[in-house]
Amino acid sequence: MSETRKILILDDEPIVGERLKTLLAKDGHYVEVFTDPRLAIQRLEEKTFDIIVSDIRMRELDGIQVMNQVFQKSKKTKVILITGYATLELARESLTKGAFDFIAKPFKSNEIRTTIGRALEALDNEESPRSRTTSM
Amino acid sequence: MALVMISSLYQGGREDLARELAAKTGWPTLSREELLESAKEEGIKVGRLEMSLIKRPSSSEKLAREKKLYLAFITVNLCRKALEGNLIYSGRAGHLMLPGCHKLRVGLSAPLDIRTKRTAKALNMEMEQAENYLAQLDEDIDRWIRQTHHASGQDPTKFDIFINLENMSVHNAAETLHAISQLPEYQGTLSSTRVLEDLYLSAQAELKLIMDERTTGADLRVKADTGFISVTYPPHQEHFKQLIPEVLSGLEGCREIHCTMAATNILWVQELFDPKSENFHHIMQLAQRWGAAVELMRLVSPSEPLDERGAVDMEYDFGRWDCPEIDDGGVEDDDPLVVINDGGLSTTIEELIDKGRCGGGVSICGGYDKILERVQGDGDYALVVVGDMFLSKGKSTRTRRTRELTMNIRDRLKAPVITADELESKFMFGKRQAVNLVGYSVAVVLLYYLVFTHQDQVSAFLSGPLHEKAKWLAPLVIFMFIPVIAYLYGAVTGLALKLINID
Repeated sequence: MSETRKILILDDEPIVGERLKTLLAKDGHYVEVFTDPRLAIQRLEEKTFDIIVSDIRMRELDGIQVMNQVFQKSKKTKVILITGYATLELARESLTKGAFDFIAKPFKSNEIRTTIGRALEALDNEESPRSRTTSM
Repeated sequence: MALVMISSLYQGGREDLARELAAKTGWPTLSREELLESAKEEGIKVGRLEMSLIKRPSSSEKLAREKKLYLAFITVNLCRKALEGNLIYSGRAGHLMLPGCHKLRVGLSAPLDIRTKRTAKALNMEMEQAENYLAQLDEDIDRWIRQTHHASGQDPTKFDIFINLENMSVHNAAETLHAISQLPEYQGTLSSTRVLEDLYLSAQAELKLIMDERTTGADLRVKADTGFISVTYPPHQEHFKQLIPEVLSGLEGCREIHCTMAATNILWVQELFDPKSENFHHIMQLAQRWGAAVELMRLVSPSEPLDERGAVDMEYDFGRWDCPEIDDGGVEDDDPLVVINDGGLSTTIEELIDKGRCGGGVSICGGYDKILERVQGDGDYALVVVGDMFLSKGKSTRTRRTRELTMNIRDRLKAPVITADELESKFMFGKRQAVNLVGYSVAVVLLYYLVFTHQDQVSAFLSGPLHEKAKWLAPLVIFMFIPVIAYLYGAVTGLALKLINID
C-alpha cells in the first residue's frame, strides 16, 4: 500500500512530538502533533487518523482516556501508548483496553518505527483481507 | 524497631493494610510505587525493566546492569527509612527485600472475585475484562519476582505470616500484625541493626559505583562488614582497581576499602553462545558452586565466510546507555553501532551479568594462538571449557579439531582444559551419574557381601589347601582384586561428593 498514512502524536512535552514528527515524516507519513489533549480530541472529531501515538500521563486527560475517545469514533485506529512511568499494571491495563502497543520511555527511534510498521501492517491486513488470503 | 514488609498481588489489599496498620501504630509507610517514582526521577529505567517481561528487549538494549542499579537504589532507600525507626513497606515482593535483616514478612491475599471487583471499579473495566487483566498481570508479576529476586513470590517458606482477607477484615489483620510485630522475634537487636547498616553501606557503595561514569561498566561484587567495604573485580577489569577507592571516597560510614581480584574464573571458548543452551546451564551451575566469574571467548575460524563471522575482534564492555546531554523527551537516537550477529555473545553476557557471574567477553578470529594472545592476566583460570566449535565441519572433523584445540590450549595454559561434553561427566550430577552411583554402590556392597559371607572359602583360597596347590594364584588374584575394589570405592565416593556439590 503506497497510500500516505495519517498519524497523530500527542505528548505534553513538545520535544517528543518534534522528534517523532521528524522521524515519521521522513518515513513518508502525514503527521500532526499536539501537546494539549483537549485540542487533540477536537482534531479527532474532525479527522480520522490511522495511528495515534499518545503519552499516558498528561495534565488534563490521560492517554487511556484519549484512547477511549478515539475508539468511540473509529474502532480501527491503532493506538500506541508511550510513558515514562511504565509499570506492568499500566501496560496490561492499556493492552486490555485495546491499545495496539505500549512503549516505555526512553526508547530508541527504531522501536517506535518498528511498532508503527507493525500497526500499518495490521491496518493493511484488516483493510484488504482478500489480498492477504490470496498472498498466503 | 519494627520492620513490617507486606506483599500482595494487584488489588490484594496491601495498601489498605499498610494504611490501617500505620493509623494504628503511627509508623511511617513506604510503598513500591513511591520507590519507583524516586527511581524514575534518578533516571533509572524502571519502565524498560518492567516492559522487558512483556516484550523482549532489542539485542542492543542491555538491561542486566540497569536491574542491578534498580535493586541497589531501592535497597538504599529502604535501608535508610528502616534505620530511622519503625517502617511499614508494601509492595509486590517486600518480603524478599533486605535479605538477612530482621523483619516481619507478611503475605496477603484476597479472593479472586473480590480482586476482580476492585479492579473493575478502579480501572473502569467490565468484569470479564478485569478477570483477563488480573490473570495476565498475576503471571507477569510472578515472572518479575522470579527474575528480580530469583525466588517465587508465593513460596510460603519466605513468609512469617500469610493473611487471607476472605474472612478477616483489614482492621483485624492490622491488629494481628501489630500484636505479632511486638513479639521479641521481630524486634531489632544490636546485631540485626548491624546487618541492616552493612546492607545499607554495601548498597550505597554499589549504587555509587554504578552511577559513576568511571566505574559504570564494571562487574563488581560489593560487601560491607562493620564499615569495611570489600569490592571484588574480575581479572579483565583490573583497571578499575585504582578507580574504585576514588569513587567510594567520602562514603559516609566507610572506614576502609579493600579491592581484590576474583580468584576463581572459568574461561569458556565456543563458536556460538546461547544462554538457553545446556552448556550454559552446566557452566552456570559450576560457576555458582565455585563462586567463579565466567569469561566468554567467541572463536571464529578465519576460513568462515565474512558474513558468517559477524562482529569479530570486539571487546564487549556494556554500560548503561549514556544519559543524553540534550533533552530528547525519551526519544533516543538509534545506536550508531548495532551488532547484527555476534554469535549470541552479548545476550549470554547479559545473562551472566544478571546472575552476577560475568567475567567479560571477547569475539576473536583465528586459532588457539589467538586465544593465548587474548587470555586475561596470566591465563590463570580454574577451568577452561572448550564448547561447540567448528560447527560448519562434519562430526569427525569437528571432534578431531576440537580435541586438537583442547590439547594446544592445555599445553600452553596452566589451567585444566576440558570439552563441554566432559563437563557433565566430570562436574555435574545428572541421570547418568545417578545410575553410575547406584551401579557402583551395588557392586561394592556385593563384593563386600560375598567376601564376608564366604570367609571359609576365602581363607582356603588364601592359606588353605587350594593355596597349597597353586601358591602363585592368591597373590595374583589379590593383585587384581585390590585395584578393582579401589576403583569401585573411588567411583562411589567421587559421585557421592559430586552429589553434594563438593568437587
